[in-house]
Amino acid sequence: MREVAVLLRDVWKSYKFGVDVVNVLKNVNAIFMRGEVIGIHGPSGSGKTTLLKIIAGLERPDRGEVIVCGYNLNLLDEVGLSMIRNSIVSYIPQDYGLIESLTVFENIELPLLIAGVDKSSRLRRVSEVIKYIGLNGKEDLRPTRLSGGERQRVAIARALVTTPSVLLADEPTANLDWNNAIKVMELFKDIKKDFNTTIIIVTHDPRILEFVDRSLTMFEGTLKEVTPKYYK
Amino acid sequence: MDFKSGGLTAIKILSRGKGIYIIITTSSLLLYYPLFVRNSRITYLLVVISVLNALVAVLADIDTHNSLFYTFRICGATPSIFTTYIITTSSVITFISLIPILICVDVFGVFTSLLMNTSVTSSLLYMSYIKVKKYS
Repeated sequence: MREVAVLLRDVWKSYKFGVDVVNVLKNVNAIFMRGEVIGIHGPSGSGKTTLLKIIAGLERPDRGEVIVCGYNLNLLDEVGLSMIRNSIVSYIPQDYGLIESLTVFENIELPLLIAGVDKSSRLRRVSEVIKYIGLNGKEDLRPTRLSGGERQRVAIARALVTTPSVLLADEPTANLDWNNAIKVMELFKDIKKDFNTTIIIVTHDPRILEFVDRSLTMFEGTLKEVTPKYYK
Repeated sequence: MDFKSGGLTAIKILSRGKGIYIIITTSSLLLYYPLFVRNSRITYLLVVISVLNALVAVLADIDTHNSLFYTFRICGATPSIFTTYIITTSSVITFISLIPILICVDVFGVFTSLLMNTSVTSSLLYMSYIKVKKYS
């Protein structure tokens, strides 16, 4: 029997813009299983990024339940959510979130440094991930010296270094040409196969959905299944 | 753990940023006055310049500090790691900018600068952190 990785139950989120209140997520319900690659497609402003941030524990829902790998995020304080982001869920933002002053190695090492992993283990683990992602020889470069595809790979490597159960990628191919986009999507499939990671990708590009196991569509804050619900 | 992640990252960021060079250069130039000119009015001027110097040092690297806060948050840094980062950055900048005033051996000047520089640098960094936390 497959394990549930993420469970969203009646999730609502709104933002205040002056006197106006905009409902970004409306009654979102979903179950994502362990080892699935899920694509969430929708136009800009439909609530895709907000949904990812709620799963990552970067934002809290107004109401509803968010359970990630058995942890109810509503019940966790800021320290608890930090632990979840450090060890269970990894989030790759659209702009990659790399620190330009640090080298590729130091950027990838950061989550392990935060986790308090000792130096020799950090060195070993980062070297393994660099080899797996295919960034050999780029360890000492600053992100500014890398191409868009390589920067995306560094962000994926940083997300992968703690071996998370859930990987969240916000528009991972938005800044790439089609050839690099295919490479990144193939890499996600390899990660799923090798580590049984649940990968949730949000995108506005429908071509990306060819590479996922399940696709859902998001429109004006509501989430709908596009592929058959085979997990039932 | 907190010192390793917050403190060491702060030192790496500072040593590779623009701010530390600005502050070292200005502080070195300012050393001339307390060493060769003994004038109480200049001490007050030094205090003002020292505060401005610390302010510029933080602002010169504010984009890096912002992206670091954002990345720290994504990577699961606890609030205490952010605090360590802010304290380390603020302390290093305050200490270097304080050197010309320490030479004066002016108790009032030293304490005023210490208070002002620490307040200015840590408040700026803390506001930056809150902004990143709110909008990320």
